[in-house]
Amino acid sequence: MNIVISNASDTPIYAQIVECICREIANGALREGDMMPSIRSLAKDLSVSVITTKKAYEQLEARGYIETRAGKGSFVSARSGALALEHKISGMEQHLLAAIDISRELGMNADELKQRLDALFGEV
Amino acid sequence: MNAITLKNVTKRYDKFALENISLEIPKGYITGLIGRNGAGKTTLIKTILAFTDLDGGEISVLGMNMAENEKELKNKIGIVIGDGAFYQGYRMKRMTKVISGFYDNWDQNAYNKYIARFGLDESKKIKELSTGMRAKYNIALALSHNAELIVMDEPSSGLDPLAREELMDIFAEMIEEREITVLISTHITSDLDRTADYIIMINDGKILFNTPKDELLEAHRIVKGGKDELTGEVKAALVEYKTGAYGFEGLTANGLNMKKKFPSLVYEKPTAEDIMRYYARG
Repeated sequence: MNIVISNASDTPIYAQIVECICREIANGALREGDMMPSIRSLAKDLSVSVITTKKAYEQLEARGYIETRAGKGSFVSARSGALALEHKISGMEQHLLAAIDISRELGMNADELKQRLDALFGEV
Repeated sequence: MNAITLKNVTKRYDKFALENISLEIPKGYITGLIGRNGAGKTTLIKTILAFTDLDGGEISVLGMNMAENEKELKNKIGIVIGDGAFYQGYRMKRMTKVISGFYDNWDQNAYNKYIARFGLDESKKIKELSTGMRAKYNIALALSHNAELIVMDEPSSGLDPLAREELMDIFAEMIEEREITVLISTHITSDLDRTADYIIMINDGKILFNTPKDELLEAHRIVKGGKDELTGEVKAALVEYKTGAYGFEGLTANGLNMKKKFPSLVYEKPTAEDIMRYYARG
């Protein structure tokens, strides 16, 4: 699992940790049932405060990515894969919506936009 | 659960006073006590450790009254304060033997580990130790009797940057292994930027804030702009500011709001040191 934190970023550190872990779930590096590091060991390894990792885990749990079993630790949840996929799709939709906004500014209709998309799809 | 609780504590000296201080330091976390020289950091720590009598209020340490349970509590607390009282002519090994006798839970293995980690030579006499070596020796002693609470007053002031990082790493490791509480005072606030959980700032004997470090760093922003941009409204949104020949620089406690209101100014993330500087000036 890779977690890279930027102190220069405007995004709070706990949110950066949440994003990294979601990404690792989406790309399959973390799978259903995998055990997560403990809050305190993650804090030590990332050189951040325990409160930071605690907050990140609370968010991941609230969003359904991980489950905490008393006395056993935190695990990647069964529905995490589906959630990560959903998250990725909604991220893509955000970009598509932005593209639609720009196409409207340019006075393009849906067909013209689709043509552009098809052309780009063939290129990459 | 709190490791240390102060309720309306007052301690007066001729020219200085801690007046009506209430404070909670939670168990299992690293708390940094910051403030400039003379702000009251050492006085507060000495007051907590019952080295002085109170003029008012109550203090509880690990759920007990310090004055009434001194023997039991001193076993549970690892303390670094001042230079440490050592016999100058003793070699470290002999001095350690004397000190280890004071503790019921002395852990020689842990001690040997820290001595090695700090690169200390036990055959040296106390008077031959440099300031940095003395500080490290002091710290090694405080960490080696399975304390539940570590209280250190300016432990890093005699240490170079590498040794300071080592010390903070040791704290992070201890916090990972077992429930232990760390309270350190420092004016070298960069030690706290990474691993500290809570930051308490004291100024002129008063507690300015006691906040999770993340919240503190995320809420505050350094704000910069040209001289003509420093309007009354901007001033009102700043904790404190200073002006120069070409512009101003200040600190706001609510970066998000201010950025919305005055988007043309420059905003930067502060360090704990930036925050301390501006609050101490205000």
